[in-house]
Amino acid sequence: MSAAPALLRTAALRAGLDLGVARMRHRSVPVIFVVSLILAVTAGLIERAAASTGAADRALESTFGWVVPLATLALVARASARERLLDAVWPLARYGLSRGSLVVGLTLATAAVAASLGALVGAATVLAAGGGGVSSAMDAVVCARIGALAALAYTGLFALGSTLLARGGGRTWLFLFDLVLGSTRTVGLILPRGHVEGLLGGVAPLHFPQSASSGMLLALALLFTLGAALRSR
Amino acid sequence: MTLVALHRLTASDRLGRRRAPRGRIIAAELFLVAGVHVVLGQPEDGTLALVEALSGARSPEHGEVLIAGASPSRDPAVRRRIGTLGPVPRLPEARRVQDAVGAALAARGEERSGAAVVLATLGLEALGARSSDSLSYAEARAVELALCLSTRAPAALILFEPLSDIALPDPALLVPRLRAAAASGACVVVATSSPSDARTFGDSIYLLSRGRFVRALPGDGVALAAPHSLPLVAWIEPATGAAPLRALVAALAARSEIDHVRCDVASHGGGVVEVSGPDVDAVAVAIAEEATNHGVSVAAIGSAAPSLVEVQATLLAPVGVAP
Repeated sequence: MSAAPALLRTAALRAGLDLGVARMRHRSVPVIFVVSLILAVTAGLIERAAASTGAADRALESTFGWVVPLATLALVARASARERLLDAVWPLARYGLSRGSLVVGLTLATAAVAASLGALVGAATVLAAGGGGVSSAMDAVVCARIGALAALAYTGLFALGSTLLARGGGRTWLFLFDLVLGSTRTVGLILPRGHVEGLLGGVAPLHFPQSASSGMLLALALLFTLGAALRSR
Repeated sequence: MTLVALHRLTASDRLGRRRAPRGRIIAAELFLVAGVHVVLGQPEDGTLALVEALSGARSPEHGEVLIAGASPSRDPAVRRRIGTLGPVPRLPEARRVQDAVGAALAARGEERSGAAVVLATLGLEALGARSSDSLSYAEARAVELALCLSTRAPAALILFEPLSDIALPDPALLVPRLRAAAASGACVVVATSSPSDARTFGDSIYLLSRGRFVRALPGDGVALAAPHSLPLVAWIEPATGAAPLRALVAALAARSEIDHVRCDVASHGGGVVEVSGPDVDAVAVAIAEEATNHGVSVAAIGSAAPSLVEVQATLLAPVGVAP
């Protein structure tokens, strides 16, 4: 491999990261954070008011089942300017940067923001449902990690969806696909939902152990992102 | 050397409502060398699809596009050597215009600091400090044109309607710049629906109709002008009055060198008289003589450019077969 194409790819990756950071500075992003946080905390408080036993588990179901995927979907839509990813990076790609590398950079920047959101709402849900204390704090750390992993995988999935259909409408279809089939034993293997449920104490696809589910979420994030990059070349 | 090659290219644009195609190129074969080439047709004939395929914005459905031997949609390196003025301006996102231009230059591997120079070449330096969001459509196209023309060692410059909807302080700069780029070895492709613009630019003109290249014409535009059928237009000074104008029209209609006269009288007393005949020079002399005879003051006489529909109707009319 010659040095020039590698340098071009690095430049494109950096430009994609810059583009992603710029798009994540949009005023809608703090709104997504605030709304997600309110929903997560409200879920925690409602479940604790209903019954303190198992309140965190029930609240986490709604947070990781709805809030994290929907918030990530909104972030990816923002990052891709509600276009197909191919078109979203065209303003820079037209001047000689690799579209695939731009897409990887853009997705990485979005994934970083989504992961911090996932960690925040995961921890906030547990703290709101558990009412504080040492065990709640430890659970919050664990759930923050799960939230970050879930958001990473969903970012990759929706980035891949953003390469499909007009204006990247495939990301919405993949959200619905994950919602309906994500918990199944077979198809769920390649979707984030089943693995997140496994990490929360549920049954993972093919009875994967929790450590494998963490690895699967990371692997899915990577594979989906690479798939998005390949489809955008 | 062939710089732009279309091999059985079939491509669509996605610029219609709900991203539906407005036009399509069908199985096109075209090989272009350095020079200024005009593709004359409407968006529905496939000019948008052609520009998107040539710029690399969209991959062909079938066939291939090669610019300097590489596919613009797949090869980023060749895109650095393609300057594009597209139908919809797509500048890099940045707060200020000069930052957007700087980002484009950085993407091409050039210094961001060259943004001011790029804008100044077309007299657009005043736009540099403006917010990118504040640019009108025509201003954004002008900035995009400045970037297009600043392409280093260009293999191709692809321009969609470069004389329409574009806020250039001095449009006369454009033709010499394109000719200079062609002289330096670039293949300049101008897509337009204006026969008048086609005559302004082209070394060669390719007529595009319903997705197919149907005619190649010389760039002098003689074939487009179709002088025997073109009317001359005389603009009559205001306050002339309806009566002298009608007298002028009646006198012109009676002259043997004139086939057809049409007149629009404006509310301010002036008007426009459209006159056609087989010999354009004789028609112009007749207008001048009759205007003098009837005391009508003529502001200007010019030739009306044919519309694209008229050009297509003339050039694509079925030829009769002799028995």
